[in-house]
Amino acid sequence: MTTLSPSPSELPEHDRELLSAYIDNELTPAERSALEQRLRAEPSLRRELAELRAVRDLLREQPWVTPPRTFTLTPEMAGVRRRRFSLSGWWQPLSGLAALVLVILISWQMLGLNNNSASTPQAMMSGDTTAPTAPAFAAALPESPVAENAPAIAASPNEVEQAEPTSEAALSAMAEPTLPAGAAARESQAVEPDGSAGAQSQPAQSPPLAPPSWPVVIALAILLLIVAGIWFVRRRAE
Amino acid sequence: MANEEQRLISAAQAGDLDSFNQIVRLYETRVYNLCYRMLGDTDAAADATQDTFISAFRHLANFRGGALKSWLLRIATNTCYDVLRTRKRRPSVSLDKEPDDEGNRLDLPDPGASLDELMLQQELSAAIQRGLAELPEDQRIVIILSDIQGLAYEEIAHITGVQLGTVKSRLSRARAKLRDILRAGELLPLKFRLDDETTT
Repeated sequence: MTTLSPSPSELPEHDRELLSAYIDNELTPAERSALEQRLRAEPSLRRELAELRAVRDLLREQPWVTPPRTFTLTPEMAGVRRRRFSLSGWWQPLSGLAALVLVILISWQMLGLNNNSASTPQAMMSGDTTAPTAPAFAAALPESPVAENAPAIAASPNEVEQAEPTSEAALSAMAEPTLPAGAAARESQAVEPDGSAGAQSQPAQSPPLAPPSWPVVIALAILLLIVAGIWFVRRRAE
Repeated sequence: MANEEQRLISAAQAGDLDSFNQIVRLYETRVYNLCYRMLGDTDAAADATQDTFISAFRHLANFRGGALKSWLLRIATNTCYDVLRTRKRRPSVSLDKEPDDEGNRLDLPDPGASLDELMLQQELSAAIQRGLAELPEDQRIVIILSDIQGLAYEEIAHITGVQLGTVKSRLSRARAKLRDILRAGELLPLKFRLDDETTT
């Protein structure tokens, strides 16, 4: 190290640019030879050249700094997502819609089945629970030929067979909408002993099938639609 | 080498992160050193280097061939300018801050140097870093690219986005100013004075 007087160079800016480019061998041949001629004649120019070169060499000799770590990218840094199963473009909303329709259909079926299953036990139980109400039923249908003939049938077993078709037809007409074939058969068997078939078969007439609860289905559909919409918007926003 | 680099670039442009990370390993020391010399502290340099490579990966589709080194150094330069602009708006870190030596591991050129020589070298390195920090940013980047990174004028012009003549004038001013700073701190080596004396 040495102590030099801190006197900034008095050289013109253009001369210093020439010297700097000369150090880096960035002058044209003509500029170079002209400068070398001047260097031979001007000591101040030579001193400036030496100092600028010293600075350049000092910097070039500087050791490189070792990075404290590696700078390789993780998938998160790079914004690369791991591939996962996804449908592209318009398949996404379409598949969501298809799923929605499927859920609605399943809900519909389940509600319908619940109505049917609710009526079946009623029909099964009808033999036990409705027998006492037979007279009331008979009274409710005074004009019915079946009801009018019932005592006569009971009195005359021979006439039962004649009356049977009539009562069977009435039974099937009443039981048809809801009763399975087995139940109808049981009813027809029950006619034979005492001719009170009309009274026994009447309770098999289930209440009319309740339509599926539309507000529930619609509310469910709207709820699913909202959930699907939120999911879709969030996927798009990601 | 060039073919291998081109293969890595193509794979990385197709989204292959492993190939891009091989490119990172090739250039991270160079990029980190540019950032360290521009910003003056290791933490900021590490952040800027990481940001440079993240930005490079995201904009790799815009790389239309040419020298990848220049392209990466251009991104690093712009990243450093962003950091310096932020510092000016919120000056929590002073540009005159002493360069931190902790965690700053220099690749010493002469492992067999004596303790005195090592200390002198450390002192000189710190003085140079302080001198660089005193330079205007446009002169600092040019002298770093030329005299520390060893790039040609044309490459520097491409990285900094200025004309060749501007590179020449900024470089000469930067060298003269750094010379004045080092001379004031009595840090110009004796041999250069002797060189000077022999030339007269």
